[in-house]
Amino acid sequence: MTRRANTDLFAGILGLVMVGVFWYGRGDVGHLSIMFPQAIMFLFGAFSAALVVKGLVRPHRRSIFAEGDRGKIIGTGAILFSWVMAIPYGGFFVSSVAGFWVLTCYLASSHRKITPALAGKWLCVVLVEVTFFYLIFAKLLYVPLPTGVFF
Amino acid sequence: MELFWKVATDLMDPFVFLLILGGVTAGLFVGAMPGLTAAMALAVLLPFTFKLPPLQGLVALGAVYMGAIYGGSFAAILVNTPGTPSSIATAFEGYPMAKDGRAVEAISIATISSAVGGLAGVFFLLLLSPPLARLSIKFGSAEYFWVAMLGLTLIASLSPGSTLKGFLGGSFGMMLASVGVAPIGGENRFTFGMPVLQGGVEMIVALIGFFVIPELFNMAAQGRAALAEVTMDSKERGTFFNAVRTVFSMPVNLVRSCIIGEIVAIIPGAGGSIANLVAYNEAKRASKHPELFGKGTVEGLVASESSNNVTVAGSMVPLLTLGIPGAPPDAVILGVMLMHGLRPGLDLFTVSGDLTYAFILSMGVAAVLMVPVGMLGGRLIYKVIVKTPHYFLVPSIALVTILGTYALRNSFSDVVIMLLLGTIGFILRELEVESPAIVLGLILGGIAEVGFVQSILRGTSLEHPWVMLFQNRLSQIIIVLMVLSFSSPYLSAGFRKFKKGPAELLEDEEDVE
Amino acid sequence: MKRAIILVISTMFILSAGIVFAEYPEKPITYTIPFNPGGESDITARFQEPILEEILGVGVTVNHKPGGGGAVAWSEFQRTAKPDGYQVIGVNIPHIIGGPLLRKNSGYETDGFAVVMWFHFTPNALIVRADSPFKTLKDFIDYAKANPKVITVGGSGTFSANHLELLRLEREAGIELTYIPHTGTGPLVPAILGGHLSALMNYSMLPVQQGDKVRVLAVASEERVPALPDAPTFKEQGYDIVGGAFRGVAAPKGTPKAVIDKLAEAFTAANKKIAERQLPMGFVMTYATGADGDALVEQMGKAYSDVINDILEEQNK
Repeated sequence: MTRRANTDLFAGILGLVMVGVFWYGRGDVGHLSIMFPQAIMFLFGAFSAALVVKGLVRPHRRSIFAEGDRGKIIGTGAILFSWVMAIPYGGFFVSSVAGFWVLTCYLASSHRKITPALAGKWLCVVLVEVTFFYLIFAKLLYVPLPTGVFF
Repeated sequence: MELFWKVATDLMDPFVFLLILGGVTAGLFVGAMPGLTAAMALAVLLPFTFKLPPLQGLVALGAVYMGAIYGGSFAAILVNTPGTPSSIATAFEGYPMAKDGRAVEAISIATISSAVGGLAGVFFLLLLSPPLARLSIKFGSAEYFWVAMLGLTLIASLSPGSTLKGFLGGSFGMMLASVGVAPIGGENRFTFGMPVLQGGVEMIVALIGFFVIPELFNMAAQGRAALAEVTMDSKERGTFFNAVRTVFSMPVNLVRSCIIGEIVAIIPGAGGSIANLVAYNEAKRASKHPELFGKGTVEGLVASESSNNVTVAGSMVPLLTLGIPGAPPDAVILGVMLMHGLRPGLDLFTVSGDLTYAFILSMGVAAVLMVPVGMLGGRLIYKVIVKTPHYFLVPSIALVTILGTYALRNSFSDVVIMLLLGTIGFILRELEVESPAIVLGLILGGIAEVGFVQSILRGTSLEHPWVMLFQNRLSQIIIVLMVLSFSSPYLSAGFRKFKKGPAELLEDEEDVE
Repeated sequence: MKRAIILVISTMFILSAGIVFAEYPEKPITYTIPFNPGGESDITARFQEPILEEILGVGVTVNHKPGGGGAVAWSEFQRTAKPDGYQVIGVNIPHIIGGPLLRKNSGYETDGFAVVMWFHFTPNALIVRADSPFKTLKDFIDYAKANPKVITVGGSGTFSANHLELLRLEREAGIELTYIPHTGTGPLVPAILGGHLSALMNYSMLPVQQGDKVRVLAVASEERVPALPDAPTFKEQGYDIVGGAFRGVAAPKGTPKAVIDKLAEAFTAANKKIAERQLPMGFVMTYATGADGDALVEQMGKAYSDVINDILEEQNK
């Protein structure tokens, strides 16, 4: 796709949305706690509004998400989020082996055919690598990594 | 003289030498991993140093500190993800160089620059501690506020596309910095009812999110590691002697960057994360061809890497003379000193002078040892990264990132925050709101808020409390610097246009669209 | 008959409990510090760690979960920690008293811990620079009476021990000062030495570290602090102000008493050993375990209740 997006307008709108989120979450607090963030929020809003105006008057256009395969970005994002979200349930080790392995197979799938033998071989590699880091962090650095249903 | 011999023999001890070597090596690998910071490395080491005599414990910590700040440059150069906040600017030049097939050269130059910076810091610490310490306590709340504002003017030059978008990013960063318990006022804000957000958005967590995650998405989208196509033909230019020659061919840049690093270092709370950006910006302003910055310029790399290693020994000035830890790793070192009954102050340089001077000099030794360790370690890391196919590299970086983010505060929520911010950062980057502007806002937001509100509070008894912000001579000097720094890009652009004459000016106008 | 069955069952429970906990501890104990490495809590824990390991015979791993003045770690601990004695956490007075009262959504409760022991106390001290015109507490208070709000006093944090103590001094002496919170003890040193503040309300360690660069006008302890023999107390000068930060360790609520006792024993022994290193730094050692520990929380809660109510009134205005 070669349609070029109006980045000024989009950035401005995104900024206004974020200002809205912060405004909603400012909490019921005293003058001292809020005076500075309030000023910044005002500036943030002003910059966003200025960008919206610029986007309408003299837009800067650019094709976004144009480099490479967009589907891969969404896929990778989805796998990364599932990997992290699985950690409280599966524990760090199990989730990471699964997440790592799935991500590897997914990314490699567009380059070469994934045979069960190859996937099996990779699983071993992934196991070794995750175990290596797991041992360093959990046993050497005493980081209390999240545990799940298994360990 | 007697002191000198005592210090020299202390340092000649092979065990001490091995500690420094091991410390630098360990620090280097810690720094090279996104998410693992110098402060964390020192905290992990702390229990081991208890079992050592005071000097050996301090020497080990100093060496790890030095190595970690330097190690951050590897990830910055090779995967465009600063390993620590001290090498943000390194990525601006180092990564484009690596993409051009000059990775080894970039690593060598970063190594030599870091060693020079480390030695310069030791030199300042040895000879100029008392006057620098006196300067450092001149900074009060108003000065902190203005220093932060001065830092924010960097946004204008960090956002090549549009200054307005840079400031949008900067204010987003400053809003992120204000999540959690208010530093002054003490109430919860922007926590959306979640207790875990009381701890705020840790700077490193955001740094990793904003720099690493977009890079992972890019690698996935392009179906190859960013460096995969690189040929190794630059090996010759990456040799030790060539790198030395390159670095020393720009003495003005080196001296300027080291002085900037030292000044930022003695202001408690600023540290390497700001020093590298300021030095980079100044190198760019002084350069004859600023338009080449961001495309793989050696000058910018030298400025960033020399200035950030100055801050290691530089932040020891307020630490050793006044007991003020300027950066998180310094707090750990202060803790170790207090545990051994060493009190910061003049006594440290007289009564326990042999120990103090040995500690200071050991940091110099560590800086020198970075060269062989870095030249070998750097090539090793480079080979691993280049030889690994992208479908292993992306998940591997993700794994280390998740671990590093988690281990920072043993917090799972931080991992989720990191991933969310990374995704937002990726979208914003596509819209040309650059991550460095956001991170700068995040670093400086807290400093600015504390300085601002404290100044207003100090003026409680005055009719107009905000007058406190402008009262001191030092504040006024910083304000002038800020105005100069902010307007200089526009002034010099105007100057260039003026020189070109009207015909070319027209052409120039057309370029704008 | 019924009674006999209950008796048998409860005896069995007690016995089995006795058997289970006779073996405690059998695996490593996690000791969470809710602050950054390098601070007082961290250093104390590092001192204790090897001694505890020796006494308990299992590993003790110290880890950090800083954020929100301790609130992040405390709220998670109260929500998730299992009451089996293998998870303990550093706790501080008055943080755990003030936090839940003064902050909305702090996520933890003052009495949501099983306190094992309060092991030391760092009294607050009113400190000025050595060349300050305030030679005594009387000078200071006289000047404050004549010039309300003009004296700026720095301290570490909002609603912290320093802050609450200053508010008590204002009430007791009938003066008005301007409190300026700082982010920790570190930034206070340049602020006082550089002359950016008139005085500090901070812990007794700071004047010990800074030596003759500063002068202590008064210390908020019952008796003079061993490391500061020349510094008078508030009490000596007619103000009933005793306070500061108490540091201790707690287990999750519901942890069996036998386990708590065993931990208290180990921490007490450790405290005795590290006293010789901590006393010269300006610490005051305490040994409040069991009911004494809970009583201390209550007592300090009462001491600060007036100023906390003042703040709450201010907030609800």
